[in-house]
Amino acid sequence: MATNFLQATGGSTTGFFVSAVTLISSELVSLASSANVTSATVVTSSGTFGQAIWGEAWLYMGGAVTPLAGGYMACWWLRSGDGGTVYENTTANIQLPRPPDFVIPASTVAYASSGTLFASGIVKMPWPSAKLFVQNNLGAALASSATQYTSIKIGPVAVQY
Amino acid sequence: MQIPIIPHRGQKKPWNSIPRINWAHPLARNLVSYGYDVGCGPIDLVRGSLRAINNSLRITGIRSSQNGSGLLYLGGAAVTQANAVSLPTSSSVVTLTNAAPYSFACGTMLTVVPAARCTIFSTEDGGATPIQLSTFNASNTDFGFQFGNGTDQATASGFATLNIFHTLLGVALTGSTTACYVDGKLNISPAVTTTFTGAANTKPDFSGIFSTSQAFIDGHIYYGALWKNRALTAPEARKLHDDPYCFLIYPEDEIFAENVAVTTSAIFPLVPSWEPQPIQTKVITYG
Repeated sequence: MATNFLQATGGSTTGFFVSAVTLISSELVSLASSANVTSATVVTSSGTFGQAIWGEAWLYMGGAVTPLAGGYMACWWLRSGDGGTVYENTTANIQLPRPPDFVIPASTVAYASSGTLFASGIVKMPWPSAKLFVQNNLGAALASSATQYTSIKIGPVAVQY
Repeated sequence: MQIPIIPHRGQKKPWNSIPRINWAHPLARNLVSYGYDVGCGPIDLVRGSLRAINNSLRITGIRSSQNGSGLLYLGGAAVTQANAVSLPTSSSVVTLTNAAPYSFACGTMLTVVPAARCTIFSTEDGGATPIQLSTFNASNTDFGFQFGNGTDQATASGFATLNIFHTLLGVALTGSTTACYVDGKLNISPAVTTTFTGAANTKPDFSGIFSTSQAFIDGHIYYGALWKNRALTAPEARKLHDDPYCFLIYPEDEIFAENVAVTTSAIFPLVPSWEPQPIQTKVITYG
């Protein structure tokens, strides 16, 4: 019997499987070009994403930013193999030695506060406990606003029969 | 999770996300660098390295095209002697040309007829250029191949057309024999020295002006690839042009693979039978 392969609606009214999550925010205040930072927030598959395997991620501007040509945010899941005690190694201003889990490309325009940019393609969620490791490759520092943070959020998505 | 085998993707990047290399694919064997434009410049999918922009004057920005989104390189005369974009070096890139065989390729689309000689994809160390793929060597509609920091070997004019996906593949068969493919077809086979000992800082470049180049291209460079100790064959050259992303696995491939081969609730006999058996799996068709 034929059955349609559909997007799962889940319990969120925004179209996501469960409510969208802010992965990182205050850590991004004034993040310089080429600098990187790790989120304080720890995410887990069951506790954060409703065990959804995939997500749609986006960057929300807390203030005005004008990226250079070809600018983007590179984002990695910083995984922990022991339930959140020890995470992957990171080094200031040096990317992780593997391709980013997702990138958020930007145009060479002046983004105002509340500007929103989605990641290229869908994002595979991490199985183990994880933080988000972000490198600012926009070619410009992120906004300094501490009242409306620049943030990266993700909405879990799923498919179903 | 079962990964589906997509029979044919074509020349358009199938998805915008970051793929991973299917190392079981024949074309991936001995691949030592694969700079894939993920939409904001190349990422080396072999090593995970991100690109560096060395000459922002020669980049228009991120633009869409009929073959997928990516950096649109900006043409013009050389303002500074710096390539537009480069990937970090590695020992495999440095020693690529130390001995034959080796192969190098790129997928590109020119949007403006070049006004002078332009490097599309190359490796360089700031002086020497071990390998290079270029345009406008003798005429403004030819392509050029350079092996072992040697001289440019130009195709006939007329091959470098605008707004078409082009695949350039240079193959060093031996230390003195080569095969140069344009769009999957053997074009020229110059007998030149192919070996050159690379310097420690040799790195892959996208849109550069080293060696004898005088200008930059207008257009996209969708990928640049290097194979060490491997001479790609004519059928592989054809495949690389017709289906350049056949050895990549995208996250979207995997999401659709989640429900492939889900058994139905009915119980079917598992013993051999001459009778036609009902299909026990659901089939997903990819567009």
